[in-house]
Amino acid sequence: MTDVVLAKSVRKSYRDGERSLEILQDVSLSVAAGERVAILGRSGSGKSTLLHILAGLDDLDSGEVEIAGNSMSGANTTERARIRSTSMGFVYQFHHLLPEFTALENVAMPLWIRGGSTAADGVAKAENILRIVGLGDRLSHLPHKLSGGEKQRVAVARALVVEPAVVLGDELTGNLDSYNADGVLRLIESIGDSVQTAFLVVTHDPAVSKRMQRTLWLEEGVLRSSAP
Amino acid sequence: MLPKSRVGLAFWMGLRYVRSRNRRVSRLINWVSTGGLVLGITLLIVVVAMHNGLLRTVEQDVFQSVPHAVVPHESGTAELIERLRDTNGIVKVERFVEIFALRNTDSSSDGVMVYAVESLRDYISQAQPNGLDSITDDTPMLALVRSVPRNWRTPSRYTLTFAVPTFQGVLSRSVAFRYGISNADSPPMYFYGPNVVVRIDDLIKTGVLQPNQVDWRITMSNPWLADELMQDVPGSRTWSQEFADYFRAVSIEKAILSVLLMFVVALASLNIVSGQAMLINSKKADIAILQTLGADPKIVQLAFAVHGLLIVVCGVAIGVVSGSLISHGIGGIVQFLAQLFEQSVELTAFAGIRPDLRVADVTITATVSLLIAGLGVVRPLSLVLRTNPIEALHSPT
Repeated sequence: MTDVVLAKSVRKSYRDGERSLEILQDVSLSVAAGERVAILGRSGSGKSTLLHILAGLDDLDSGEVEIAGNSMSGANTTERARIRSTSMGFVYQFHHLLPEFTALENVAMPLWIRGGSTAADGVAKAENILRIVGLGDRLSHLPHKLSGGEKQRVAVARALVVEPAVVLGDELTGNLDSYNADGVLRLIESIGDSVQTAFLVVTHDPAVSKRMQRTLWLEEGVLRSSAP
Repeated sequence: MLPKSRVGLAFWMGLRYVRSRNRRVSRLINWVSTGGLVLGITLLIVVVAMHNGLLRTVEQDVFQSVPHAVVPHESGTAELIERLRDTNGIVKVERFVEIFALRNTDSSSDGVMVYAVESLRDYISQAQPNGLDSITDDTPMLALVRSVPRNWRTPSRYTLTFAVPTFQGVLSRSVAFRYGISNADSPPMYFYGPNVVVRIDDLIKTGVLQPNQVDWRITMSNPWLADELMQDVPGSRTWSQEFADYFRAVSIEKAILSVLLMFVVALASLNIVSGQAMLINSKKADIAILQTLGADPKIVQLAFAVHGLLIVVCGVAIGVVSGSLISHGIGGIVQFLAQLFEQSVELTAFAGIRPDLRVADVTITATVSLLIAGLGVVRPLSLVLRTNPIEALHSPT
């Protein structure tokens, strides 16, 4: 199977005064198309930093990152934006829906940003995916009229609407109760089974990692394939 | 309405941010900014239109009451006068003398400026007889006066004392006239013109003037060309030598007032800077998520620029419309205020000025305001580029 996420020997450190804090130490990782992978680790273990480096939102000190065959580590800001708009989706702990826009518009937004299709096509695709996530009756609702679980499902729909190679999730159930968290995870499982989109989810919750096909452990900047 | 392109998307998002009801303080600042723009532009347009009106009124008054140019008798040869009569742009060349005299009343004397002219025909129609007898163009020894002193007991005769240079020295010569009071609001006797108008021949007949001491008054179709037309005429003097500084002063006053009122627009622009900065800071999470969705930062900047520009364009448009409407109706407004304040003299005089709203002034006002306020919109857009998506995405919306 093709690797949609490939990270080789990624290193990242931050300076804290005169001290250098090594956040990621020689991290290598690959995620195959359609695979669901969890990276489990405690708070401050470097999970989010790794995710940001994979997404091209943060720079690495050394190493290489490829997303769907495109080098993210060697790309400039514009190229990174293009890779994100064509190959990646994001789901965060806080839904980060655009509050002035309806659920339908929020989901269609990545398509409009990417361009290449008509506005109406974007709406049709967004409507379709919102129906798939069970929000067909919430199309014209503004985010503040949706429950926490519904907002996160809209965020999942928004991440999936461009049919990305990979969706990156950062504590995507961290702000939900167990019932809604279960709903979002079931949604990811069902969609993951039907499309070739990979999911790479970082979490500190073992219950989430259990729902993924593979779990990696990140501790003190070192990524391991087995529990420490 | 759906966005049809990425630029269209930016416009669409900008419009949506304007309509947003989530940001009360920011919306209040937007309203204050719009109000400031409207107020500043309205004031600018009204003040400039009133200034134009004042300048035009004074210009008309001056041109109708004072000579556009005077050729002194020393250089007014027959050939020169003939040449001037044939010159394009000169409509009238006539005999004329401007002379100062003392007006003698019962208990005092005061100085008056006297115009001695060929014929009183133009002035008679504006004049009222003094009540003792009627006056016509043929009335001998007739003086038309702009006013008489308040303490005067309406004598039938009006005495002027002239200084007459002779070989023996300067002698004083008092001459009695019949008189009529000319309407001070009528063009030939405006404030800028003479206090008294008499016939040249009456002054010659009474020995105040010699026939060879008479100057020439030149009337032009376009008085602004007076200096150009008279540049080759030795000793000539034009209206502009006397009034140009006044017009220049009014123009400078207009420019200074425009700059001062532009500060109101600049102040509103500072509000726009605050409003834009507040909006961008409150939308850091939106900016971050749009970046993760692959939006070019320029498109995100454009969305915020549209938000600010809409406020600016609305403010400028409303300001232009209200300024134009108020300029047109200012006469009625001032008259109403004058009535309200029991016929205030200042307000009544103000109401006499007819505003002159010029397209060029409105265009300049609108353009400069758009530029100043536009800078207020553009300046905070760099905050979009400075937004750290990692920080923004780790806090609740």
